[in-house]
Amino acid sequence: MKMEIVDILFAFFGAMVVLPVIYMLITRNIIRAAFALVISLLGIAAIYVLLNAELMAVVQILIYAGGIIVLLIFGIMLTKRVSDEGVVSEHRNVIIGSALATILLGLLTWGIFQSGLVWEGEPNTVDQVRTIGISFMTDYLLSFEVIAFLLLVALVGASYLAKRSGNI
Amino acid sequence: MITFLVFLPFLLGFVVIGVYGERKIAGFIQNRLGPMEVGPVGLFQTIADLLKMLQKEDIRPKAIDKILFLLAPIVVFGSIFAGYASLPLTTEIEGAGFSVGVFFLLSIVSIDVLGILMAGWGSNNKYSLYGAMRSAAQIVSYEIPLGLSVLAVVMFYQTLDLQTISASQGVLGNEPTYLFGIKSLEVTGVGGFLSWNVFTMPFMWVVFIIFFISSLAESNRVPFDLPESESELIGGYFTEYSGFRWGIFMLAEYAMMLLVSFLGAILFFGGWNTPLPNIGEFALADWTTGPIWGVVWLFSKATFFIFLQIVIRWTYPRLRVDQLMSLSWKYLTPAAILLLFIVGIWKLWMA
Repeated sequence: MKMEIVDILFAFFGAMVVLPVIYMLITRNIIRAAFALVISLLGIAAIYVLLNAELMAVVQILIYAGGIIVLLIFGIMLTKRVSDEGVVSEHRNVIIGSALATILLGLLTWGIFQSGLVWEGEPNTVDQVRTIGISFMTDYLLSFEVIAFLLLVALVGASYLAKRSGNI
Repeated sequence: MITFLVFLPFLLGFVVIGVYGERKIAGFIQNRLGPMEVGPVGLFQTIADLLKMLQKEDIRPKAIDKILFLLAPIVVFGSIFAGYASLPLTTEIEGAGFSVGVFFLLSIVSIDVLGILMAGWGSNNKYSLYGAMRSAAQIVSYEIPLGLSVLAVVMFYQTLDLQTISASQGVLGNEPTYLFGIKSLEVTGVGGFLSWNVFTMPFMWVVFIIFFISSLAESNRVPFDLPESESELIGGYFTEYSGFRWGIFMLAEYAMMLLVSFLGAILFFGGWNTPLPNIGEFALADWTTGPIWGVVWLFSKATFFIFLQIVIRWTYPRLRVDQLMSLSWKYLTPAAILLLFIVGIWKLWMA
């Protein structure tokens, strides 16, 4: 098997996804764990680019790395003061947790090999955004609207909770 | 490659001249002279300051989180500089070839919040942390009106590719263009400022104002410089930084100003298109369109917006935190959504 540049890049970004997650499991410093998660998520975005899914990659960066992680870190910073002795987590349920994770990993690997997924070849990248947009508004309209409605409900609920607990 | 060969040298040169220009303009506004001592009319002041800054000791406080502290400036500058990759330079040279264009730019620039949070937390300093948290809240809030105003332009031209958006605003476009959208005022072959986005679609002026205000907030400039307000927080998230690392934060701030100026020029004011229209025999637009002219027009438009940002910095006072939030959520975001609706109706009705 000949190693091509894409394979080397794939291996590099794969390591970029896996290694920070292992660091997250070992470290007790929550802030560093959160930043390690960012590296992992950016690695996933890079793999999307290698698979020609540019829109997915950008959405991954915007929503996960730029949005969710910022809120996560923001939450940690608001709950702890600087003068505290750092923010640490504990290691609990090590044996049960790792056993469950191993079972899940085995099931996923088995499922992926059983599913018979094959590489479909280079997709048409010229009008990816247009194609996805049109299928959102035609074939998948119902699920799209249901998700939009769900997000609206979550937004209204969040602002209600924030107002009730605040002093405004 | 264009990003490294053209934008990086231009950015570094721009920072040297930009800082000098900013101090001179500040001096003019406050009725004083500004830097005058080093070189003729103080021209070498920034270079002298730069040399002094590079020689400073790289101080690292004892109680810092070392990895986060040292990585933070690189993350901030790297993410902003990555945004330059998708900018089209001129008629022949477009940005990196992905179909998502401006969407990539907005998403990669949003990573710089993480760098700011890293700096704030890693410094282990009360003021740094306050600055970082203010900055995170501000940048996350103002991304929404910024994204919506960009979306209005994207909807109008029906593409995310900045090169296509630029080409549609001049003599090289494929679609017919009308002045203020009025069918009897066709300016398809005329070009010049008449076919720029803001002149073919008058509501774009309002969209541009929203874009400009949010871009000021995104680049932490006055009146939105709460994350680094000297009078309250010493220096915000980069209080503990010194020497070259502090210099990278400053470079990132100027890079962000320049990036949003480029983006504003491309989205609303024709990008690399000439402002001179064809008038009968005098085909000024055709004469002044080309690879070299494109660079000249794009850079002069961006520099003009930098000038506007500097004038605003020395004219307006800083906002309060609650005013900052209510401006974004209660005024800019609803206005941007309304304009998005208007642009959609316009697109259906006028086409």
